[in-house]
Amino acid sequence: MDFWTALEYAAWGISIVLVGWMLVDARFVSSTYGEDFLLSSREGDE
Amino acid sequence: MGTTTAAEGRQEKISLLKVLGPVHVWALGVGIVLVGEYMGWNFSVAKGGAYGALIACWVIGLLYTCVAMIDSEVTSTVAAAGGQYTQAKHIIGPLMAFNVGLYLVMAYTMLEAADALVVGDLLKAVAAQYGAELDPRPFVVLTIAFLAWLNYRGVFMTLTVNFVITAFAVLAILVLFFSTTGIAGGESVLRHSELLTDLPYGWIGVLASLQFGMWYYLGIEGTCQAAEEVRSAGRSIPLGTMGGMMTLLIAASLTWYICTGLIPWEYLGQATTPLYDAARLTGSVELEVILFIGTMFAAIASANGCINDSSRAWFSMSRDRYMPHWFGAVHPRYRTPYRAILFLIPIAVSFAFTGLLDQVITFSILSGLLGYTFMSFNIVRFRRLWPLGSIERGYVHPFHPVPAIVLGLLCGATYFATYLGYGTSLLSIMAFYILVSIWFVVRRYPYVKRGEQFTMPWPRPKGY
Amino acid sequence: MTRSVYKPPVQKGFGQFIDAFVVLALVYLSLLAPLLLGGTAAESDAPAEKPVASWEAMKQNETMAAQWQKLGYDAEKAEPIVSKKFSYEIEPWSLGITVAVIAAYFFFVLKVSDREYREVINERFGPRTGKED
Repeated sequence: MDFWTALEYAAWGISIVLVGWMLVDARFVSSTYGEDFLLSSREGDE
Repeated sequence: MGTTTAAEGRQEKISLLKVLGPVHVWALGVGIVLVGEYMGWNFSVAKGGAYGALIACWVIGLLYTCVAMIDSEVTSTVAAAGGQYTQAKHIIGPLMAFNVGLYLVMAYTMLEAADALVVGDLLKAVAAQYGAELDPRPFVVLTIAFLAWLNYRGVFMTLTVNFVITAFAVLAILVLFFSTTGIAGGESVLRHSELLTDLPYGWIGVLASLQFGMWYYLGIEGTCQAAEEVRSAGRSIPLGTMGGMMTLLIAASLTWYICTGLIPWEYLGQATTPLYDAARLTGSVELEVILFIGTMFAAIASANGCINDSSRAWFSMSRDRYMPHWFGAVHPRYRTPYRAILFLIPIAVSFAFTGLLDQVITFSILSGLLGYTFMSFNIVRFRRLWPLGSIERGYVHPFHPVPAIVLGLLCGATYFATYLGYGTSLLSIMAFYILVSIWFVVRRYPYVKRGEQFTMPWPRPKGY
Repeated sequence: MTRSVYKPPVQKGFGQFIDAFVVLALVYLSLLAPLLLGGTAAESDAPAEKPVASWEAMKQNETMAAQWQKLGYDAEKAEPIVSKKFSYEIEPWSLGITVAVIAAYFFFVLKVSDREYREVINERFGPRTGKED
C-alpha cells in the first residue's frame, strides 16, 4: 500500500472516529439529562 | 427578559454560551465569504469579461453594503441565534420566517458541501503532481466531519480557529498584491494594458456577471447568527459585520486587480483556482505555496462558518417547533446546538456527493438572494411598526430608506442575471420554496405555539 | 391570563422524523428537476466552422499567448476555452413566467404571514382594543 492509499484510509478512519464519538456523546447526553432540560433553551433569555 | 424562569417554577434552564467578541464575528463573516475570492468570482469574468466582473464586483459590493447596514440595525436589536429567521418572525410573520430559516440552512449547507469538495480537489491536485491518483471523497467527508466535531465541542474554539485561518488567507492575498505590483520591491509583473479587452458581450454580459459577482461577498450576513453567543450583541455584531464588509471590498478589488493583470480573461473565466493560478504565473515557489495554503484555509474556514450558521438556523427553527422540536436541544457541557450540527453532517455530505455541483451552488446563491430580497422590505416594515425611539436600537443605519430601495433594485437585477444563466434551475428552486411553504402552512404550523414565539421585549407593533 | 391561548398538539418522535425527511426529499427533487427537464447553463452551440487554432486567429496578443503558455496551454488546447461563448437570449415567455413565479411566491408568503402574524400579536399582547396606535 503506497502513501496516498494509506492517506485515504486514514481519512476514512478519522472521519468514522469523529462522527462515532459525536454519536456516542449525543446518546450519553440523552441518557444522562432529561429531555425537558436539554430543550429548555429559549430565545431572548439572558 | 429572563422572566420565564420564575413563571415556570424552579426548573433549570440551559442556553448557548456567551463568549464571543467582535473578532469572532469578523472571522465568522469573512471566513465564510473569502473562499469566493479564491474561486468562484471569476465565473463572472466568463459571463461579462474582465471589466464586466469589476463592475459586478462593485455593484454587488453596494448590494452587500446595504445588506450589512440593514442587518446591523435589525440584529443589534433582535439578538438571537436565528438571525434573519428571528427577524422575520418578529417583523413579518411565521411563514416568511420559515422561508427565511430555510434560505439560511440551504444556502449554508450547500456552500459547505462545495467548500469540502474544493478541499478534496486540492488534495487530489497535490497527489497528481506526485504522479499518484487520489480519491478525493474521504477528504471531503473528513473535512465535514472534523469541522462538525469542532463545532460540536464549542463555539469559542471553532471561531478562534476560523480567525487564524481566515487572517492567513487575507494576508496571502495582500502578499500576492504587494509582490506582483512590485510595491514590495522588484518590477511589476502585471500587464493590464495588454491583457484587458473590451466588454465581450456588451452590457448584457455585465448584467449576467452579477450572478457570480455575489461570490465576492456571499455569506457576510451570516454574522448575525452569532448574536446569541456574543458577549455584547449591540456592539460586536455591527462592528464585526462592517469590518468584515470593508475587508471584503478591499480583498475583492485586489483579487480582481491581480488576476486580470496576469491571466487572459478567457482562461480566468473558467479557472478553478484563479488566485493560485496567478501565483503560479509569477514563477515564485514561495508565492505558489502561500496561495495554495490560502486557498485551502479559505475553503476550510468557509465550511466551518457554514456549519456554525446552518446549525444555528436549524436549531432556532426547531426551538420554535417550525421544524421538529427534537433538534432544539443544547449540549449541557459544550453549550452548542449539538443535534442540529449532527443532523446536518450527512446532508452536507450527500450534497457534496450528488455530482450536481452547479445546481447545488445555484441553489445556494439563489437562497441567499431570496434572503436579501426579504431584508429590503423587512427594514421598511421594521421602521414602520417600531419607529425610531419606540424601542432601543444598538445601531441605526443612515439614509433610510435609500439602502432598502437600492437593495431591492439590485436584487431584481440579480434575479435577471440568474435567469440568463440558470433559468430552469431558478424555476425549480422557486417551485421548492412554494411547495415547502404550502407544506408548512398545512402540516407544520399547527405544532407552533403562537404568542410564545414573539420573544422580544418590545411594545405592540404599530397598526396591529 | 384570560385570553385564549392556542395549545399545539405534541408531536411524536416518528412524526418528527417524517417531517425532517419530507423537507429533504423536496430539496433533492428540486436539485434533480432541471436535469430531468433538461438543460441548465446557457451555452451556445459550438460554431460549425472551427477556426484554425492559432493565437492570431483567436485574437490573443503576444502577452496573452505567453501567459497561456506559462499556464501549460498551447493554441490547440486553448482553442475550446477561447471559442466557448455564452448566448444571452431573452425569451419573453420564459422571462414572464419567471417574474410571475417570483412575484406570486412573495405575494403568497407575505399574505399568509400577515394573517399568522396578527394571530401571534393578538395572543402575545391581547386582543386589539382600538387604542393601540
